Amino acid sequence: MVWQVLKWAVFVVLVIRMVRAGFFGAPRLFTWPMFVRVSNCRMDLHDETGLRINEWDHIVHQDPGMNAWELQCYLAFLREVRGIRAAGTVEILDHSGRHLLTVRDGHVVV
Amino acid sequence: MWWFEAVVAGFSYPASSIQICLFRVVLAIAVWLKFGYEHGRGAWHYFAADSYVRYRFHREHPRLPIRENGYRTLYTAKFVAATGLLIGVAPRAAALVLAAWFFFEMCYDRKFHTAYLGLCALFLATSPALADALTYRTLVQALALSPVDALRADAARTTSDVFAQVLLVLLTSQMYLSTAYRKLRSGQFMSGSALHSFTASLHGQRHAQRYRDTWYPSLMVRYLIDLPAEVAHRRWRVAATGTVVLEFALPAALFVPELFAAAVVAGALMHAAFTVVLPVRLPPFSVATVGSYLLFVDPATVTGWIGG
Repeated sequence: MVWQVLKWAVFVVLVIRMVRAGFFGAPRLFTWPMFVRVSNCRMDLHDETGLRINEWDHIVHQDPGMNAWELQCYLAFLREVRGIRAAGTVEILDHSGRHLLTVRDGHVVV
Repeated sequence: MWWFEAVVAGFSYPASSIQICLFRVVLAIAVWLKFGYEHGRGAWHYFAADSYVRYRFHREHPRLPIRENGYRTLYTAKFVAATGLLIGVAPRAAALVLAAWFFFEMCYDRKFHTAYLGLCALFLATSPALADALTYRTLVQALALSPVDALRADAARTTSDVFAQVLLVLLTSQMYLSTAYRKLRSGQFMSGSALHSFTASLHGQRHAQRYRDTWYPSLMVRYLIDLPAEVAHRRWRVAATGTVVLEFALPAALFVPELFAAAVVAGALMHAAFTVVLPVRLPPFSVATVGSYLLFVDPATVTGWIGG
């Protein structure tokens, strides 16, 4: 009996959650917006000696998308863990358009 | 329709256990595919001290104190669980461990296919019939008796608890309808620009990638990627529209016995096309999703197929 009530409770909560997340509001669990947004990032970064930094050597997945927060996080990783103060340019293409950022001394400056 | 009857009856419906067990095996294969390629791409070292994955994880989740040893313990547990799910040893516990792993993985590599596999594992764990069929015992019996007798014995086992099957069918249906709706509302998807940008970017950076993710056929590069944007968008638009139409239609078509075979073929072809776009990462998702089509079949029909 308890198990049956629990099943009903789980089912009802899931249906509500699936409808809300699936069709309304921001992406979360039960939201499936695969490929719906342009998301692209091109980095042209180098270290203090001029050696090119290949971001693909560090990131876990192969998605080209990297937003501003992830870029800040990546630059902080290069500074704090690898001791690299990157410089160069990063071009981010997302739903709001194309953004060209300048990186100097391990930080985004523009 | 059996699904509504089962819901109205309190998730109770006469079924052969082999139906849900077959999906258990399919999901385990999908999970092994995913774990296998990730291991080959250095997943064992993701939480090494100088790893960006670990750095990013701790920055985003400062209250989750997972270090290299903890990660590797979970990593080992996921392989044990995937094996248990495949051969039917403590399959419910194995499914729960896998679900826990996938939700952990979402903390450092958020992917929709990971969420789908995690939810499948979680819902599968609610089935009491997971150890009824297609387990290591089936293999032992097949060797001792004959494969036909072993499968016949498995097919004879029944369950009336179809809660897991109801949830899994709901999940796949919701996933298709939700993604079709989101795509339809996305100007960038429907115009073809999102698909062109994604594929062109991966193709353009293929030689820089430490672990290459794409091997697009030259015909695809010539006609869909390496050409002026407006031409490429126009061509991708056909694929985008076809995807949305199929994703809207599939859940309903899978429920109609007369349309089931056609729906399976159409769904499999659509997932094959997705797999061309991401040939390394998407096969586990495609295997699990197409495998879930079997759960749409009325359990009474399955019982009829196996001569029950």
